[in-house]
Amino acid sequence: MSALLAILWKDLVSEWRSRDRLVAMGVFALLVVIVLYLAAPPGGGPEARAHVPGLLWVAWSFAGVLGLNRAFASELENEALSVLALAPVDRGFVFLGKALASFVLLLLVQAASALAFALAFDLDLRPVAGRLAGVAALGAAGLCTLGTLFSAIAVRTQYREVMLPLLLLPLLVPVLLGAVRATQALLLEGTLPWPALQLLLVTDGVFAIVSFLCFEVVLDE
Amino acid sequence: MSYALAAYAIAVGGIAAYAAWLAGQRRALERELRSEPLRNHG
Amino acid sequence: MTQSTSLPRLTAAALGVSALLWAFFVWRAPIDAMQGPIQKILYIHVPCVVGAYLGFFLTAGASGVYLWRRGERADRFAAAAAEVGVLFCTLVLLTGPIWAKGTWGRWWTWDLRLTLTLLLYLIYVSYLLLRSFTEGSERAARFSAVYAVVGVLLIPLNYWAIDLAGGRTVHPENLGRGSLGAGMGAPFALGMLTAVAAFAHLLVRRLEVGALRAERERLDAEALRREA
Repeated sequence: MSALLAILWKDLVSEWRSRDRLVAMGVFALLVVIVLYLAAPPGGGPEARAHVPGLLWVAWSFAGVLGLNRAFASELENEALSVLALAPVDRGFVFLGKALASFVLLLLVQAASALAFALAFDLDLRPVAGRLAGVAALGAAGLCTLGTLFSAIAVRTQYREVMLPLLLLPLLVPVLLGAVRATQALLLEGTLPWPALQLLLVTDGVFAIVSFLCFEVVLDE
Repeated sequence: MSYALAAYAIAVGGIAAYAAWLAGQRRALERELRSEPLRNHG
Repeated sequence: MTQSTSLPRLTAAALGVSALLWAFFVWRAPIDAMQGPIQKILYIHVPCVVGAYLGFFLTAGASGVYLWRRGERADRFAAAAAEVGVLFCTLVLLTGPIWAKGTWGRWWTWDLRLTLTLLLYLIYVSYLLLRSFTEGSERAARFSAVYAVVGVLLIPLNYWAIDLAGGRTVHPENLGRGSLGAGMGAPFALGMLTAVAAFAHLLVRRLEVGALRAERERLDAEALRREA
């Protein structure tokens, strides 16, 4: 358990010192907001707003992938991947530490970009803020669990930056569809549809368990 | 009607092409492996 | 090192017989009242779907066996099944839109089945790319096995998700026995049989190639060691 906190702490502290992942993710999300705003039908009316849920998740998932790509970067650069594998700790905790670190970073970026979206598309998010945060967190959880597993895989491949989205995105469809559906209902109608939430929760559960179990196999050095 | 023919042609053609490619690979590999002992004693 | 050639001959023979019967019955099949002759694409499109999913499940199964036992043969089987499966999946995605264009006038829709098949295709391709680009063959085996197993677990989730997003209708449903008109049962069933036979034959040939490659790698590694 303390290993989990240790890894989480190490990742977050090193991130805070360099802030490279955070800045990259943040700037990227912001750029996506700007581009999508420019691409949306002008006038910012209800037609443009109808697209916001999808666009929001495009921005969030791309930023998430960007961050996950760098999840094992410092270990790779310092040839410390085998250190992670050989540490006398349950590999599951290594996984959780890494996944949680990415999760925290993604949540921060999600919050900032949600704000940017609200400003760009003239939305009032206050009535749904809490629930939106919940949906965002559920989606981010799915992204970060499976994403950390595949990041560990991708880091050992030849075209790692391309490999991660290639591996991750097709499998992320349940998370994205559920999250977009929930966000859509939330932003456009103010309700939270149970079927979509159900899908998200089940998928997150499956992802978490599967990633946790498979991480062992993947980090074998 | 031509659509149907096109579809059949593509499907059967695709399978046949793959089989042919596999056969080519097999022959090349067999040839390589047969000449292997000569290579290693050279 | 010569392989026994009896199994490929067997599968080739089975394929040949099945294909001939199938072709005969397709030729003789009645022309659909509503769609016209293009409906006969059914007898090649659905068999390809069978091949695609067969490959996917075989790959996932072999991957599971590999993760359990770490045997090289399971890994080679998974690789071969994936390659043959992706061929069939490509054919599905080629014949399907041809049929669609001919009947509904559109190449593509985001219907449940089409989307699911497209996702399957992407997972297949990712699997094969992962195998190619991973450094080290033992690692490639491990990684791709994990990916295949995770991928297969996702099928029900993907189905649920796309259904939730409203991707139903459009695609001709009801491929149950009753909906096929008279005279369509035989070519349909034979098509499925031929697909399985074709898959088996291609798989056997591909496994041969895989074994040969493994042998060559082994010899190369030995040669390298001797030079060192």
